[in-house]
This record gives sequence, C-alpha cells and structure tokens, in this order.
Amino acid sequence: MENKFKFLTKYSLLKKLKNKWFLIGNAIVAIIIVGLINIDSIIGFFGGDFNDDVKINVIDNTGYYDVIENNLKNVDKYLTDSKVIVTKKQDVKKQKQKLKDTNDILLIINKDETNVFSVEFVSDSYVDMVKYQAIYTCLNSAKSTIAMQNSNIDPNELSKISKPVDIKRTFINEEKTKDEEDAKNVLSVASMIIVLPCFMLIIFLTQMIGAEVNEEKSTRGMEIIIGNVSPKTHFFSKILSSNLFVLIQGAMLLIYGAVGLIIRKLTVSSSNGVISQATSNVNIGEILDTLSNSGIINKLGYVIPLIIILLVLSFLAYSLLAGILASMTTNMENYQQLQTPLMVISLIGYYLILASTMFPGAVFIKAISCIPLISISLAPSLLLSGEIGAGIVIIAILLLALLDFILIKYGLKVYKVGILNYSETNLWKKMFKAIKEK
Amino acid sequence: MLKVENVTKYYGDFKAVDNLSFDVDSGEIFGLLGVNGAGKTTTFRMIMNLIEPNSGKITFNNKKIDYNLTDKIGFLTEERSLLTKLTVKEQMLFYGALKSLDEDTILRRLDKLLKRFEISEYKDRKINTLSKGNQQKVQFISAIINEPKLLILDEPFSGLDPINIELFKSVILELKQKGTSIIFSSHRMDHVELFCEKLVILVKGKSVLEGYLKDIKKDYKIKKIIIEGDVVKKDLEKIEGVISVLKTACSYEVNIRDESYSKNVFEYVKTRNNVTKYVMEEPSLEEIFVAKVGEAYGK
Repeated sequence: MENKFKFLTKYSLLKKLKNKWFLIGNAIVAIIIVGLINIDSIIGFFGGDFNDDVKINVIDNTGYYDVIENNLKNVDKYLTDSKVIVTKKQDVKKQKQKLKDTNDILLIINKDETNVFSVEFVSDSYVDMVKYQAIYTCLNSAKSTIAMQNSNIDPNELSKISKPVDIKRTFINEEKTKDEEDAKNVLSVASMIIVLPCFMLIIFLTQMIGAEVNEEKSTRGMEIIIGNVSPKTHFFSKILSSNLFVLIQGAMLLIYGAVGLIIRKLTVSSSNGVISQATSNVNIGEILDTLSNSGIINKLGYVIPLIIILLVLSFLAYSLLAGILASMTTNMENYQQLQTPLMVISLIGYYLILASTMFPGAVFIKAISCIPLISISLAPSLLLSGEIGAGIVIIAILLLALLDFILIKYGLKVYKVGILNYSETNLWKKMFKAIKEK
Repeated sequence: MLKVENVTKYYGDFKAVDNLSFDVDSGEIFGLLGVNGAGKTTTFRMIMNLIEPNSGKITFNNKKIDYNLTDKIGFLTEERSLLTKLTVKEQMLFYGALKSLDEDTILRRLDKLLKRFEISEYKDRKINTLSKGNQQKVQFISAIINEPKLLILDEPFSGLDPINIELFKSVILELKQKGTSIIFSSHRMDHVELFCEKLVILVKGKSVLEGYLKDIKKDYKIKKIIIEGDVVKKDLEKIEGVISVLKTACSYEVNIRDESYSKNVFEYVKTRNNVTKYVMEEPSLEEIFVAKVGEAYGK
C-alpha cells in the first residue's frame, strides 16, 4: 500500500508537471512577471509622448522671468521621463503661429495687481493632466516666491521658508529605532505583494484537487482506483501531490521574480538614460540596508519559520477542504459552486491587510488574524509590520493545526463515502451520517 | 473460491441486497442476474470491498477481501471506468501499477492483449478518440491485465457487435480454462446460458432462484412443445395441462404445466394432418427468468 501511495502521488504530480498547459501557462506567467517588474523599461523602450521634451515658451510682461524660469525647470520632477526646456520669447502672434501642429506650450505672463501675475496657457491641442498640473504647481510656487520677495523678506528668511522641516525622530522606548520603523513600513508593503502569489497558489491548489477528483469520479475510474487502494491512500496522495505541486509552482514564481529583478538591475545599471534613472527608485540594496540596520533581519530567524509553518498548515487545510468538497460533488460545475466560499474566505485576509493600514492596532483585525484560512494572508503581514507579535501567530498556528486534525479525522470519513456517491439526493444527510459513523 | 454468505446491504431504509448467499469455484463462471436495480452492482461493489455489507461476509479463498487481495481481482464496471484523456498505454500503466505490476510486465501483457483484441494500432491513441466498442475492449483488457484469480464482469458485452461478443466469449473461456473464477451479470440471457454453469436470479436484492443451470432447467416444471402441422390454436388451448399457446411464423409453441401433460398434447396432434415437427424442449433461461421475476412482482 505504501508503494501504491508513492505511485499515486508521483503519478498525480508528474501528470500536472508534464501537462503541456502547465508548461505553456508557466511560460506566459514568467513573461508577465518579468515584464511587470520591468514594465517602465518596456514602456520607455517603445517610447511615446511621455518622453518627448516639454518645450515651454514664456512671454513675460511682468519682469519676473528669472523666478518663473527657475520654477518651471522643476516641472520635469513631476513627469516620468521628459526633459523640460524653458525659453523666453517676445512676439505673441508669431509664437502662437509657431505652436501649430506641435506639443509646445506657450505661457503668456501678465501683471495682475490682485494676484501678482496671471497666465494665459496656450497650446495647439489638449495637454495631459499631469503636465498641466506640474506647470500649474510650478507657477504657483513662482508666485509665492515673487510675493515674498515683494514683501521685502530677507533672502535668508526666504530660504528658511522654502526649506523643508527637519524632523528628529525620538523614541522613549530605547529598543525602538527609526530604521526599524522604516523597515516595518517596507515589510508591510512587501507582505502585501507576497500575499498575492499565495492567493494564486490557493486557487491552483483547490482547482487542481477538485478537477482531479471529479475527473476520476465522473469517468467511474474512481471505482477501479478505490478497488485497489484505500480512500485514505487516495486522499492523502492527492493532498501531498497537490501541495508539492504548489510548492514547486511557488518556487517557480519566486524564480521568475528574481529573474525579473536581475534583468531590471542589469538594464538600469548598464544604461545612463533618463528612463534608467527614473526606474532606479526601487533600490534593493538600500531596502536591504534598512532591514539590516533595523535589526529585523535578526528577528527573521523565528519570523520566517513561523510564517512557513503557517503557510504549510494553511495550504494543507485548503487542500483537505478542497478534497472533501470535491468528493461530495458529482461534476466540476457543482464543485466550483462549493469552492466559491473558500475563495471568498481567502480574500477576506487580503482586504483586512488593506484595512489594517487604515485602522492601526485594531483589536478586531488582530483577532481575525488568528482564524484559520484567513490567517495565511493576514497574520504574516501583521507580524512583519509589527501589528501583532509571535504569540498571536503561534495561536493562529495552533488553531490551524486543530482544524487540520479535525479535517483529517472527520473529512476522511466524508471522503470515503463521497467519492463513491454519484447521487445528490440527501447528500448532506449522507455526509453527516458518515461523520457520525465510528 | 469466492464465498458470499448471508450478505445484506441497506442504503438508508432501502434494502438493496437481502441475505444473499452463493459461491463461485475456481474455473467456474457464475451469472448474477436480475432486472435493473435488483442489487447486482451493489453485490459487485461489496465483493470489491468498495462498500461494506451491513451483515454477512464475503471471502475469497477463505480470506476476507481487503486491499491485500484486490491485486488478484479484476473488475469491469458496467459504466466506462476509463480515464478518457489518457492514451491506452498510459491507462494500462496506471491501472496496472495499481495492481502492483511493474512497467515491463504491464507493457508485455498489454502488447499481447492488444493483439488478441485486434487493436494494437490504438496503443498510443487517446481513449476518448476510440469507438464505444474499442473502449469496451480497452476496459476489458484493464480488468484482466493482472491475470486475475477472480474476475468480475458487470455487463461485459455492452456496446459490442456480434463479432466482438464472440471475441470476448473466447477470451472469457480461456480465462476459465486457466482457473479464473468469473462472476458476471448480463441482461442478455442467451449469453448467460452459453457461459454459466451456475447462477442466481435477484429480485429486489433477494435471490429467487439459484443453482446450477442444468438443474434449474430440469427442475423447472413448465415445458415447451414445438409443433409444425395443421393444428388449431383453440383446440390446443382446451387440452388439460396446457398453460398457453403461441403461434409463431411457421410453428406453435405450447407451454405445459409439466412433462406428464405432453401425452395429452401428443394424442391431439396424432389426429391432425401434415405434422412435420413435434419436439418437447426445455425452457430457455430467458423464459425462466421472465417467469421468476414476474412471479416475484406478482404478475
């Protein structure tokens, strides 16, 4: 029987891995992940209006040109990949004619006694909102500067006004550090990204088990299989093979992500272009330094094992539930109906992660993070962001272990009856009867 | 030897099999007959250990059938039990491995059986691309690839043309020669009659007739006389002991209560002209089946 268990597990796993749609699907997913990580480079490569030079011609009737020019040069800070060229012009009529069939912008600055200056914004066609807002913000900034200059404020004072406030972060608790605070923010964002593949893997897991059990059941091949191996062997071979598959798939997703980051690193460092500069905002090295300085890396020694145990037990619970539900249904359509609540439950955690950023320290969210099936997404995120401690995660793990135990003990009884049941009449009655049987 | 002793199975309040007993020796072909819902498939499922009887026991060679024994059993289900997305070869490797066979043995036996069933060219074809008859052949091969000691065949001839039925019959008889105990169900009584030494007729899960076929026929008192000649149906019906008279295309079939009434019919026939045939035959299994099932349903 042990050999048959190994055979069934290996058979089921290889069947999934050798499936051409698995290979095609993964090739597509790999391309998408690598592409998404490098999406800005890809967009930049193909070009478009966004990286055209922004030519701003200014006709100044006020005498504030220098201040206005200095401020308008900051427009590029708001744009993705464009260079801003500001030029002083004279003839309004001529300049307006020159605008025909171009993306250039003409700003006519006029005196305004009540508002320092007013601006006529001229272009041949529509201007995108980001560009318009950037110019508007810079003109407002120029106006403030001019207004303060006109108020005879000392240049040193003026410099102080425009200088950002220095904040010195102090903690009463000596164990707390600014790096740790930053690291927690980084990790809470990172955990939201990690949760998405987990959600994807849960969908894979439940779909696969359901499809396999239903295929064997609907073809009556199940009678031959269960005639030769016990339902217990069959059940656990399905659970093990599906979980192994999910682990392999998860590892492959990580590899695709790593490849994407390597490509990003290589393309950013090998190029001095404006796009590369713009896309180098996400500096992995800096993030790692922050994490290292914060001391969080030292805590990963127990955080990572806790999260791994939580993930493994959660995947086990989802797969056990999927196997049990699949055994009760007689076709894939019915299974999909039964599987929907599982999917919704797995989504709750994700929404609560978002809510946790709006309601820091919420007792309700902390309590929910202990609930099995939801804890897989919520607890790691809250743990990494420091909302909950290891104790709550251990409670979540214990509750999950209890759920797994109950699912194995009673679910197996349902599975034994369910896989050879082809009728939906009195289905739930039959299942409850199966649970009660010794 | 397969031994089914006083087996009863309930589905809720419904009694599917009622105190059923029979045994099948090695090299014996046993027929399990009954109308739809009589309890045949439930009996097969209990023999295969797929479901537990509520009472009674089932043994093979004096051992309770469990997963240590199922490697020696072959099972052909009434409905297709093939994983139709697989090729014939993949299917056999899968089911063969479940019977604890190694890959070489499976492939060796598969080649031999595919040749025997004249479908060698379909070895690498997906099952869902095969005709119904060829799928039935593949399913039959999957049931015997482990060279079983006990073979359970639930409606084995379903979907087969007469030529392939003959092919199946010859393979089943070869297995019998090799000492395999074979138990099978069929709605076709002519098939059962050709094969089975022993049978049981089930009605509502209960045995209404059981034993060796020759004894059943011998003990069945109603006999049939075939007459060809200038006889009158109404005259025949008036004879004492005659139950019914059926006029066929060129003869009359006269059912009599028992053999002793044949002389009354013969006395009448002697007085008629152009009589070319007068034969007393044993009833067919189908007639016995219809009569017994009819009796059980009070018809």
